[in-house]
Amino acid sequence: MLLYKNEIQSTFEAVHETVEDIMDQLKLVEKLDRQYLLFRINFMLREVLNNAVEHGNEFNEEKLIYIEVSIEESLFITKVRDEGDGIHLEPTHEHNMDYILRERRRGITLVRQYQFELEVKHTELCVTLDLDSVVEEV
Amino acid sequence: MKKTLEDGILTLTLQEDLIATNVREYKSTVEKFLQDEMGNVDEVVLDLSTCENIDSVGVTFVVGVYKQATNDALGFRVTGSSDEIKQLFKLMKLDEIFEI
Repeated sequence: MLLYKNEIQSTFEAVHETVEDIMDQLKLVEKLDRQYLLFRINFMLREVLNNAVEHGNEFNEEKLIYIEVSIEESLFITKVRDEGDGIHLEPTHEHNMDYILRERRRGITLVRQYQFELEVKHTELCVTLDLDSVVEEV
Repeated sequence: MKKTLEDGILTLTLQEDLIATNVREYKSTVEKFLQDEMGNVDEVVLDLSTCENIDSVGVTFVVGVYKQATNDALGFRVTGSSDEIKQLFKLMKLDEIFEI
């Protein structure tokens, strides 16, 4: 079931408006009616869209970001595509002191810790969460 | 962002979410507040009680305020976080560095 589909400009403001729109839709979905789940999805959406703005399209407002959100059985699926040169995800990091206090690039590790699975196909990122196996304590 | 200073404790209360669109303004406001109150502050408290959502840019802002406070030999803690934001900070082990 497709829940949301749009193309947006490469700005943090557009990301914020888009995430607010998506969350308004998701709050109506019974399967997602858990506060911790909505918080994690909100965090993940901001992360992957901000990454597309900053690292994919490099804030070029002439380039667009395409987003699609759906639910297929127990899977919550988000697909994001940008017009950059290809997505390179950072590897998962251990939380040692240097990492904890680093300036940036910690978001994807957190998204993975929230049990989202990420798959990259050139400029498209597919993020999946199995709602049947997600646990509140991570 | 609202500030109060009482007994050397500078409390910074965010009035919007801690997300990328707001962080630039928060950063310059904190820098100004700390400059204005230099010498009068022993501890910086970041009050997140009205903050529902956060992103990694927001987390970076919190870490940045902690670093700035530490560099100035000031204490630092976060108050008022929702359960979800507390869990996020714990996931990052920030609770081992400052009080959340």
